[in-house]
Amino acid sequence: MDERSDTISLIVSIQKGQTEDFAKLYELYSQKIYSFVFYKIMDKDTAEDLTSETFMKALNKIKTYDSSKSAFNTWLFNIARNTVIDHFRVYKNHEDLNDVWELASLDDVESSLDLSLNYEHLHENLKNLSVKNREILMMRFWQDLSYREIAEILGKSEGSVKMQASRTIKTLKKEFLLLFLLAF
Amino acid sequence: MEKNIDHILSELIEMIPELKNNQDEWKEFIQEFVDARPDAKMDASFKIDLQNEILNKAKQMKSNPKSKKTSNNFIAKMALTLLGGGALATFVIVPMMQTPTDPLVKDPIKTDIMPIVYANGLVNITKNQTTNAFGELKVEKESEGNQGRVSGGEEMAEMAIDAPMMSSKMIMPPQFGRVNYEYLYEGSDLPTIESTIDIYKKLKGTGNGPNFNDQLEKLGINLVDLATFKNLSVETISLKDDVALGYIVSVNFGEGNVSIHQDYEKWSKALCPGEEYCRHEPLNKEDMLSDKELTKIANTFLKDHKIETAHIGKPTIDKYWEENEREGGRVYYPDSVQLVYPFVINGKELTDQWGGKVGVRVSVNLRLKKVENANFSTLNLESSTYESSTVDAILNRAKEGGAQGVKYNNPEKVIKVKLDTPKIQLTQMYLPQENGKRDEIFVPAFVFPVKESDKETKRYYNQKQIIVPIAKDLFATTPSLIEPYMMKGAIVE
Repeated sequence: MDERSDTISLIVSIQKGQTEDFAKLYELYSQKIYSFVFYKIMDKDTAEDLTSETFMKALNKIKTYDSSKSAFNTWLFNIARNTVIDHFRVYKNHEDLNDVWELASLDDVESSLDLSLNYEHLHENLKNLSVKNREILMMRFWQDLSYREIAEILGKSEGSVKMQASRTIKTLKKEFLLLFLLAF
Repeated sequence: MEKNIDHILSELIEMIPELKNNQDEWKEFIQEFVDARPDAKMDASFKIDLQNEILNKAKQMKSNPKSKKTSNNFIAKMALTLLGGGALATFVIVPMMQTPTDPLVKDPIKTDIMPIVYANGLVNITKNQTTNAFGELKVEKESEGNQGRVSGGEEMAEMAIDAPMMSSKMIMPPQFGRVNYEYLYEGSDLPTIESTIDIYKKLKGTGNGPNFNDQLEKLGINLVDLATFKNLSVETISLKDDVALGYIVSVNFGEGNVSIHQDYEKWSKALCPGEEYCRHEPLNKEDMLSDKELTKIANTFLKDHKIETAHIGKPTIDKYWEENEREGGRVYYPDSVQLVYPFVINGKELTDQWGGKVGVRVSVNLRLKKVENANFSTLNLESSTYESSTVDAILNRAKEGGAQGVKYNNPEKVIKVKLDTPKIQLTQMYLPQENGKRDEIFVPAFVFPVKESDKETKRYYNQKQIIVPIAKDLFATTPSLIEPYMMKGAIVE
């Protein structure tokens, strides 16, 4: 069976009362959710905490999940996204997400990661993007989510997400090349 | 990945047709973007811990449901939405939980979450469909991992029981007198177990194969016609990376061991240029690297040499000098520090019979801030299903100090040892065979951590955990009641 069929079977089972099967859903989605959170946070420990929080929230809410409203993965990504937003709001004690949701500084990131040289250049440009634009690119380019899935997660239309993505990538390419040339 | 990049590009061209004019440049840029993705691999230990936490929470929710079951109509609607018309077929294969055969195994939860077949080079598992395929589990006595791991003279008890031609009657008097240990469980709810478990046997000799000549030809060995030998097989091979600070890589195909170690000659030259003997001033506390630094050096080494990490967990770091620091004794600061990345099979870490991690060992040289050794074995395992014991029986055995806990008839002292909530791990044991050899197996076991104790208790007891295997076969023997002195008739006939 493929992932989608597995997911359906598991949700059916869970909603019938086999709550333990949620651990199998976790097995299917844990890495995706962890990456999703990690790219927003760029800190391993915090990403682990928020991943844990996401799955615990999902476990508590799973019986109310309604597939006619959204696909399971977008439902789960939404919980993860809201968990990250809550974290930033509490952590930074600030209401405006654009102000608080900064890309982690390169120093912070380097302490826990082995980074490719490309990331150093890219980082400079990514941090200048708005939160939404950055999210869209990361979800499409790094997480291989479709524009449709991204649109569902962000609560926007697919066309609008595509438009934002195309504009952002054009700008980013110009700046990235410029920075790259200046570096050498 | 190439396909993915092409797909992303075609989507972009669809949105901005002018990109087609310089699509090679765009493709390169997208590739750069994708390549710049930081490594966001989930830590294996964290993954296991969270999985266990979820299982426990799910179990609690099941035993205390707050809401009524979801209606079938709703479930059908959901499945139809997700799968379209094909969803109905899925309904008949809803996984059902196994019914417990043992009344004491309450509310069973599958500890093995996903199908048990891995094959990634470092860890390979095949499933033997026969139950009890490795025969009755009569393991060697020491392998329960508890006997003799106490301070002082009882270390000798361990040695005595370890020797096949001796009996427990040969145990020497411990240096602290006749001390019994009373084990108190102070943890939270115990993990639940299924009525059966999978046990893994390590397979050997997987490195030899019919492609032997091809392998050697690839290495350029053509000084002799190897085809003239009837049944050649590769036993070991040693390769040298002939550069400054190079390594020697040794592979034992029969055992499946790989050892990468420093080329001493080259390393000595680098550390002590121009000197015949390489001597240094001892290192100081300030020279010790942080866990983060050590892990980064070791991780980079594994990554650079493409050593498979999908089935290894978070490393433990042996910083034995810190205990000496705490106790205020003379402290020797080492030149190198070892990290052990445990193998993780179906969510459980592998441990040896003493609770030490089994996995990839990496030593970091602190003077050069560079890995000097890395050792690991490939794990080719065959699994078979065995009957489980019960949670209550396991707890009782833990309170006896494990399957081989020992008690004196007339103890002079009783030391209380507090046990914390156990984790389920796979622990190494040995099954003796009729030919005098022994099979290495890994058995799911409850590992009860010993809680931090006071100085008095520490003086008598330094064991870190009590290990109780889950397999029912292993409960056939009862803990020994031992005599403190060498007795007549100690030699086994």
